[in-house]
Amino acid sequence: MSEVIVVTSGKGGVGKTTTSANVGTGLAMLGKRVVLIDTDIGLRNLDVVMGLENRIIYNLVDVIEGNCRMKQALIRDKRYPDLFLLPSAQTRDKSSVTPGQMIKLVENLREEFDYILLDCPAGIEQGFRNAIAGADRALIVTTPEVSAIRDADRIIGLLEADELRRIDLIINRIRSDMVRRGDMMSVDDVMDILSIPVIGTVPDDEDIVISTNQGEPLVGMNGYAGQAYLNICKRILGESVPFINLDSSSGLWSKISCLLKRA
Amino acid sequence: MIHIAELFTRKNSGDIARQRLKLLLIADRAGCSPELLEMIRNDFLRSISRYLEIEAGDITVCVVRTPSETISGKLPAICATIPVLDLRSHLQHDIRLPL
Repeated sequence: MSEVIVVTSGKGGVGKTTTSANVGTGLAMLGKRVVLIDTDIGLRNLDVVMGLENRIIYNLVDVIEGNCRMKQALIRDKRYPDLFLLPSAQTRDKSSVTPGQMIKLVENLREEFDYILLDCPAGIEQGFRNAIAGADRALIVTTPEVSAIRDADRIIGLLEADELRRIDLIINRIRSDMVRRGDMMSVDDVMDILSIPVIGTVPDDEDIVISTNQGEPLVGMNGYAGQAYLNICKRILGESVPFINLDSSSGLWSKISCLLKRA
Repeated sequence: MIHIAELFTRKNSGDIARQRLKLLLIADRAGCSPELLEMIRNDFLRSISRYLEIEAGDITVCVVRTPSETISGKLPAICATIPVLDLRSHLQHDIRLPL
């Protein structure tokens, strides 16, 4: 049975696209057939994070308007043959697609894929409506900041009103050193405030910047962020994986693994 | 120069964020202003203190999302925590009130 997951946040810049890329890649790594759809029409991003920007010929709007077949628009990933990207259109705007058309598009993809991941644009307007229209469940990305959590709360309300089957939270960019000295809200604080299940926590890691620079998602690689994303993927598949203790990042082991990584 | 006293009295910014967020979300979820919630709180206080002895300072009124029995999904609900100091004495007192 296929599952359609929307990755959303409300606020921009909290890591939706990075999360989509890593979760999509991770699910493919675990042997699933996955398609990533960039629904941010006019502001194409996911292709760059995936490192597939040079292979785009057709896009989402082309498929919806019938300018090409679905197969022509899907771009196969460089590393995983069962991972595909449907890029967004750069020269159009959000009103070129309706929620009804998105539902139809997603339904067609269900036959081919185990997981359909929708990277949602920031905001709660038409682009958001399009992205959530065909979704079964949602991953809400937030950071431990007042504005991001406030927007996440609003999004949760909208998704619940839309009767989504399941809503999970990803808390991104946690800095354990700041949490420890009391200058950042902790995972427990955020859980307490938003009261939806947390499916993963991702540390604020330099490796993410590096992986985005290279256009290669870091899921599964050594290091906290890579492992955190892989754990999220396993939990999506229904496995119960213990949470990594982000607090130990200043411990002896992390120092050793840091040295090993550099070597 | 940071005074030593300031170092000890300074509130963690994480706590400040949490407090601000809690107030913000109460207003956001309710779809009404904190002032309106304050008025509801005062009315609760007035009506309940007719029957029970309560701790006025410790009343909290907030809006939470609870699963609905009639529709799937969640509905906002007003949740009030009102500590009761003494149940009995006030009840007896109340019975003596002319109706």
